[in-house]
Amino acid sequence: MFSRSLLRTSALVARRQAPFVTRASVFAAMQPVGTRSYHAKVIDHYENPRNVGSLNKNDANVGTGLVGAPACGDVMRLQIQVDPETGVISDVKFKTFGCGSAIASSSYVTELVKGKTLDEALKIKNTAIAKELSLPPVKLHCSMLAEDAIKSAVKDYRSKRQVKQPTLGPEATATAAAAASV
Amino acid sequence: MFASHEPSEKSVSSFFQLFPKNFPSGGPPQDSLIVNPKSLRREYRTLQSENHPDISFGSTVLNAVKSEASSEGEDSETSFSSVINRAYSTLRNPYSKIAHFIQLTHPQKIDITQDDVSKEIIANFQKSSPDSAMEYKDMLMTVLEAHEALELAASESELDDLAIENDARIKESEEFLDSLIQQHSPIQNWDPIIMEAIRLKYWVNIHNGIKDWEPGKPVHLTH
Repeated sequence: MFSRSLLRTSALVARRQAPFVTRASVFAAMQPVGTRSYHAKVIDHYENPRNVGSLNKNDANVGTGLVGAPACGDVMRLQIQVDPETGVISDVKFKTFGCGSAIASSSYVTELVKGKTLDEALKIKNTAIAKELSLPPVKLHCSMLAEDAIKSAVKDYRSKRQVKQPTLGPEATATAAAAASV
Repeated sequence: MFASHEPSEKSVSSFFQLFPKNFPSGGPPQDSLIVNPKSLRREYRTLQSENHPDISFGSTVLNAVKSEASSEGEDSETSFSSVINRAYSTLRNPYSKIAHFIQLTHPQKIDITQDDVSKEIIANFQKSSPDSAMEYKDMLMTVLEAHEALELAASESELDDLAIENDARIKESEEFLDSLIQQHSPIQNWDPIIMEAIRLKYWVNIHNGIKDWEPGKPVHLTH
């Protein structure tokens, strides 16, 4: 069996080499003539997903969300790098194994949360993601994965800070507020 | 008896009963949940050859039901052929098989293939103890790693280890489900069964990913 670290490193290499052209052809093949077609934005995010990858999950400023969609068996990992001074999300990376809509929603959400504060990020609703990508109703739940992932990542970040932060100062107040809101 | 003529897709008629050779007592819990895939396929082909729209002979197994159906004025051979297709595709997939069993047997007839239904059960499971929450997270991590390993596999031979490992997971999961169903019949506590069914869904997805693997093709799940 592979060791975890070896797996991660080679995953990065493989990702760089992965030709996205093939994704385009797969997507085109998925659309039979005369049936519902996907919105251009979904296809764009699916063919060229933004912010794919990973951050150091052991970094105190990185929150990792790992969520699944039980009915589809999709999984998504979303990581946020937070500026401890401002509470603003400075970097985001994701990895999603799922259908086209799930990948597109994940990719779109990473663009959405970058530059937002944690509280702003928590306000993102899957309905907004679905609307932006014009997802059909049967694919609504795919965008739920992205909303769940954000919540999970913020929760992870805050639980990390809670242990390590002192009880005084602005961060402590923020943590207390976070704890109260959960 | 069968819901093939009802407009709703959500029929709760038993698919197990259509395969009496594999489920002689009408399905779990009386029968084992686990069947030999080859034996199921053989029965499916027999049923299909006896009930194919182009063939007018009927099987004794389905004759009674067929006359019922034809009284409703439908093309019975065509519809039975499609019911058998649906039943077979449900029963050959370990996840949809257990989901079908749950929908048939659960007091509330819940459909775990609905995302919100499963999520509520997972949320309760995670809240039940820190260990449960950790266990679910660990499972998701295993799923993610299996998909990543699949994504970076460069040749077909690299899939063998993944396939062996994952087939073992599916087998273990099915055996566990079968023991839960057999030992606690009638079933009082459904949560462990549903949680295991959810785990099985992830393993089945990995199985399909391995099956559909092609060099250079990105991992893409369809559902």
